[in-house]
Formats: sequence, C-alpha cells, structure tokens
Amino acid sequence: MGEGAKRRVEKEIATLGDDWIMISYWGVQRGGARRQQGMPPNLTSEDANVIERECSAVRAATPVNRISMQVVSGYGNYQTNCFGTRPSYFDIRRWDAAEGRLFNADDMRMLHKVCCIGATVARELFGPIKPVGETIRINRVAFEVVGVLASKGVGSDGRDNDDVVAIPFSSFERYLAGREVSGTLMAAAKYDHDPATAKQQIRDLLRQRHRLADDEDDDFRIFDRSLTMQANAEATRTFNTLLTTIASISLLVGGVGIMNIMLVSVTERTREIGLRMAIGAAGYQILEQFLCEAIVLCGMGGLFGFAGGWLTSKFVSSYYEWDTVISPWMAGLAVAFATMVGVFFGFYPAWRASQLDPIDALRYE
Amino acid sequence: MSPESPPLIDIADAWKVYHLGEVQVPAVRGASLRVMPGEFVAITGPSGSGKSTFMHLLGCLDRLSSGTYRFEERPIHQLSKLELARLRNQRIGFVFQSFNLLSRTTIVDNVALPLLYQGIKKRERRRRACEMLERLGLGDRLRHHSNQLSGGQQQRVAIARALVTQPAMLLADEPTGNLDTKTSHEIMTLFQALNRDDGITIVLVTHEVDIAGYARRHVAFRDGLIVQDVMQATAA
Repeated sequence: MGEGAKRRVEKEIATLGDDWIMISYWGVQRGGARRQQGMPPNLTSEDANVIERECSAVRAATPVNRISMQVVSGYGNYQTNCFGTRPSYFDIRRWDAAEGRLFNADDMRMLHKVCCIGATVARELFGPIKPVGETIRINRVAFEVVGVLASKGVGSDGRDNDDVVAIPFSSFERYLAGREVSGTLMAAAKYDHDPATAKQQIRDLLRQRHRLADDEDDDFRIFDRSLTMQANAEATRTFNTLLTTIASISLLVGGVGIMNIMLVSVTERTREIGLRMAIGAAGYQILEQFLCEAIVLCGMGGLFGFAGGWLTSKFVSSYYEWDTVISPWMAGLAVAFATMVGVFFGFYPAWRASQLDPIDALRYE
Repeated sequence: MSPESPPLIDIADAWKVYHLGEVQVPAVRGASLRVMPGEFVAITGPSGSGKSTFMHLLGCLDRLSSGTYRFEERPIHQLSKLELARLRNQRIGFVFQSFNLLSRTTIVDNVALPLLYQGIKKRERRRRACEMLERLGLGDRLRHHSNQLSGGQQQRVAIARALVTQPAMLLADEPTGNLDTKTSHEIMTLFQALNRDDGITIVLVTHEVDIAGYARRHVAFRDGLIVQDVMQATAA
C-alpha cells in the first residue's frame, strides 16, 4: 500500500506535468518601497528565449501571459483564463490534445487566430457539440478552436486545470493584450536532469540579465512543485512507517498467539508425545515435529493473509481509485516472514515437548 | 536356548529413588533379575510395590539410581538419552494398558509409527505395517481409525505396533487392564502364541493372578524388592 501511494504521487506528477518551474515577476524592496504591480514587466519573452538557449538543464521555456476574459461561442458564454503561450508550453506541462491538435510554430509565425480549449471550457461553451472547427469570440475577436486539451482535472492546489483557453503567444499579443504584459515564464527541466539544477541555472541567468548586484534580492520568484513533492514523499514515508509498525505489532501479537496455541497443543498431546518417545522418538525428532507444525501453521497463515491482503488491495484500488502495487518479492517476503515467526515462536513449545520425560508424559491425564 | 547364551536382561542391585522435595522415596530397593531370551515372565505385586517402576527401568524409559543393567550385554546405565531412544525403538516393543494409539490416524500409520523414527521410507513402512496387521488378523481394517475399533482390536493394533520393528523383547504393562475377561484371555493367548511360535521374550506386568498364569515364570514384588521368583505350569 505504501508503495502504491508512492506510485500514485509519481503518476500524478507525470500526468499532470507537475514538474514545471514557474518564474514570476516579484516586486523588490528598493529604498523601503516595494515596486508594485503595474510597473513595467521585467520578465519578457526574450528572457524565455535566453533561458532555453543558455540553460543546459532546461528542455523548454516559454512566456505565459494570462488575462481573464469573457469567451463567447454560438451556444454560450463563459469567463475563463486566456493564456498566451508558445507550443512548448504543452511540452512543459506534458499536455496533449484529446481532440483536434495543439497549435504549433506555424500558427505562431503566421499569427493564426486559433486556440486550444480545456475540457471545462469545452463543456461550458459547447455542451455536447464537438468544439473542434467551431469559432469562439474573445474580446470580439474570432478564434478557431483547433483542439480540446486532455483533461487534467483539479490539481492538488484546488484549481481546475481544464478551465483554460490557450492561444499562440504572438496572436495573443497582437489581438488581445495589445502589448507585452509578461509577468510569468514557465520552464521545465530536461528529463534526465535535476530540476534543482535547472532552477539554479535560471536564477543565475536572470540575475545576470537583470544586472542585480550580489547583495540585491531577486526581482523575480521561482516556484516549482518540488516542495509539495517533498511533502508528499514525507507523508508517504510516515505512512509507510505507520503501516510497518502496525504490521510488526500484528506479527508480534500473532506470534504470541501461535506460541500459546502450540503450548496448549503440546499440553493436550502430552500422552502422544510420551508414546512417541517410548517407541523410540528421540528428543530432536519430537522437536522437529512440533516445529514443523508451527511452521506449517504460520506458513498457511501467511498465505491466507497474503490472499486477504491481495483482495483488500483490489477492493481499495477499485473503490478509492488508489493504485496498490503487489510486488512478487513482497508476497514472498510476507510468507517467508510468517514462516520465520512460526520458527521463532514455535521453537519454545517444541523444545518443551522434546524435554518431556516419557514416563511422566505417558501417565499424564 | 543353549544355557551358554548370554541373558537378555541382566539387572543387578537396581535402586530407584525418587526425590520429592526433602524426602527420598525408594521405589525399587536393590532388585536383581536375569531373563534369558525366549522367556515369558510375569511381574506381579500390589500397587506401590515398585513393579511399574521396575518395568520402566527394564524398558529403558527410566534410569537406575544405582546398580547395573545390561540389555543384550549393552550397559544401559551408561547410555545417553539418545542412545536409549534408539534402543527402545529397535529392540523393545511396548504394550500399554490404555493402548495409546493415535486416534486421528489410521491403524496402518499407527503401526508404522516406530519405523518412521528409524528413517525407513514410507512405502516400506506401510508394507511392513500391513504385513504385521494381517498376521494379527486385522488385515481387513487397515484404513480404519483406531477409535472405530473395539478394545480387543485396539490392543491387537498396539501389539502389532510393538512387534513391527522385530524387537528382542515385548514389555506389556497391564495389557488387559481395560479389557473384559473374554477379550483379555484372547489377548493373553496371542501373547502365548507369539512367545511359543516366534520365540519373542515377553515381560508382563499385572496384578491379576489369572493373567499372570499365562506366563511360565512369576516374579513377585513387594516394597521394592523381589520376594518370589518361580517357574510354574502355564494356564490355558
């Protein structure tokens, strides 16, 4: 289950494309006054170009400009986030089109009035109608819908990822924003590179481009999901420790139970042990017999427990959409461990049996 | 048996003292006995006379406090627990008053049990157990469990178990104590036949005079001592 939780987090990161790095405008203390928003933007599309070019650990970088606007289709209207960005945005966020296509470099160059809409927007504006090929008006400018983005659902920050209209950056600037308003860049590390390295490279580069002295604070902020991911990993670890502790306690309690059962069994079968000894069983042969019984008992218990665990995890998987992973080595380990519990807790009763005096044992009532 | 052949049992000045806290209770107080191969001996005596303790000593289930015991010339008083177990397994067959069969096991497996401890393969164990049961007239009940049999049949199974290892001696402790008179006599006749036809040495402990009558030699115990040791004509 612990492993399942870990995979779940990893899968979430992979599907949501949550390994992005966001660089945003941030006012800086200068002479006691913080530069407020509305001041000239200090993160431009040129910054994105330079980051992409110079930072070896970065696979893509793009400006992302966002304006909240009323969007109208032939069937309805809806207030949503309009993003102006480059095609590499889809790579950074690992986003694909569910229908139609993503916009591309040609659309950028030719200032095509096209857009890709999120699943929520598609539902609000078109309902059951297929949006691809339809036209929507944003700020009275007509854009053709060329694709519907695959649904990413609600992110762990509570925001609806699908409540979005993505427009080529050049068209966005020309027809909607009117000027460069960039306050935000997005980037992603190369797949085989550490996101922390990418972050550091971006920071160094931007400080240099913004001509910040060594004692000056950054005039931008870099966010990524690594802290959240770390918290997730921490939670998973805590969860695993908890599960392990519970399992250990159960094993201990179960083991003591086994020992009791075996002691009762030895007591109940004292006469049998006496007889076996009288007809020539050596002490070690009695020990072997009872140890084997304990091991078989625990081994069977282990198998049943594994079967039960397997069913439970299937149940959990199907009802709570929580992937559980059953690794073969874990199953083997579980049964082996149960058997070891059998050896450990079965030994004392078996040893007691082997030390019985045959005469006393035979007379035992 | 030629008179020169060594005795099967040669126990001399045997003492067995139990320690109950501070008190020492001597159960056997210097008993000596020789039994030749092929003899049929009945040990009698009232309860508390030490006859049961003496039988445990003979059966290598217990150790002497002092004295010497040689069984087939082996010095029993010097052997280890493991060696005693091996000896009981291979040379001595036990028959008990309460049969002591494993009730959840078929009678074949009951009879084959001593062979298990000799490390004999399963098929061979089964074969020898079946053979022995057939000899004792239980060939039609091989797959039965012991609790499905009558007392006399159960004691026959116990005898088969005692004989399956082809021991030098059969030790029977009140073998008829839980049986009715008719079955008792059947069992005793069987013992007699085994002694007469197969030459198996039998030592029988009983407090019933008519049961002891099946044996040729009578050894009487009283207060931990042998007070009488006589040969006599046998019953039946």
